[in-house]
Amino acid sequence: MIFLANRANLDRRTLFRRLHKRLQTQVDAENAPIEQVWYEMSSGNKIGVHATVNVSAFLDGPYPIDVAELQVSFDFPSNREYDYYTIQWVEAERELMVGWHQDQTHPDLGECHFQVDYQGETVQRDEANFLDTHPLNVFDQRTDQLVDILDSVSWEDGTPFVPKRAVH
Amino acid sequence: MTERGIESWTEGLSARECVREIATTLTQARSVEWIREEAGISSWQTAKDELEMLVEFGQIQAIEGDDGNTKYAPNYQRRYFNEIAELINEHTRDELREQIADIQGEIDEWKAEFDIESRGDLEATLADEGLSGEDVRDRNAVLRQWERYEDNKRLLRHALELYDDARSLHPGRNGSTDSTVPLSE
Repeated sequence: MIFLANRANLDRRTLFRRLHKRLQTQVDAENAPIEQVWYEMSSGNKIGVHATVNVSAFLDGPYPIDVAELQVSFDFPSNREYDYYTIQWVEAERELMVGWHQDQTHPDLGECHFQVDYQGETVQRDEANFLDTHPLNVFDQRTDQLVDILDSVSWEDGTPFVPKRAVH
Repeated sequence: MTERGIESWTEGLSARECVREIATTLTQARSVEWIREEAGISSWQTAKDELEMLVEFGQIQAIEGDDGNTKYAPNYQRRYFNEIAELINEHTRDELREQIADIQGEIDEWKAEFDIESRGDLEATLADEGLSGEDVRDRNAVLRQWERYEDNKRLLRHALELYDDARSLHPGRNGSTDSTVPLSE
């Protein structure tokens, strides 16, 4: 008998395939915001979808760097009431990461938190809205919010900071 | 084009297509109303009609919810075969074998690290009194990962077993005997 597969594993694979396809459709358009899409793998296991972002097309305006990476991962733990996800904007050049983590870490901040990492250190962590919606809509909402977040990043003593009013 | 960010996933899709996108990527049983709302469409009837059609074609399954109303859930049998089809269509035999070897390598490292022979042995160590809370959390994380690796290994093995027959039926490939047979959604 073969059907012993962990259903959360099949859910993840199905969803990653759909997100990959969706981001891939953004590659061919003129002035496309997405340049390349691939699966993040770990020992033959799909653990996320990553994409190279053309920053000027994504933000439709000037920005200090040209290329960033969008990293998306979802998980559906059977012993939890809600979905987990990580949606991150990563700039390798400046060693900057801004993103949302909906998981079991930092319970003092609720189910979901917003985080900024800079040069290997976490420099900001704030409570964020809990999004109990379908993963395709979670991804849509977070990538929309990312535009405002990136507009609002300020630098204090050489350290990036996102005002709380911009964090959703 | 001056729109900022990434186009919404609903862009250019009809109401029925939006329902289909949500319904075929469900991760648990959901009501018509939930799916209608997530699909961003106004017509309950359109959502219901599309869901019934998806059930008829085996893409999803209808189940009775706790409240007596119908809910729609993933068809895991279909999902499993879709994954096998994708592995076969997008990888060579060697790549699939290499993935199995990678997974086995990770599992062998855990066996050495914890001095055990199986996942069950590791689970049994959770009762050891000498373990700290952190040790237990780490071992639980390994157990979950181990279970996933075994799932994926099984999937890869089934893909290898079916490889030649499934490839010969892949639409558009040489040797296709029936181009109407869909191997993937």
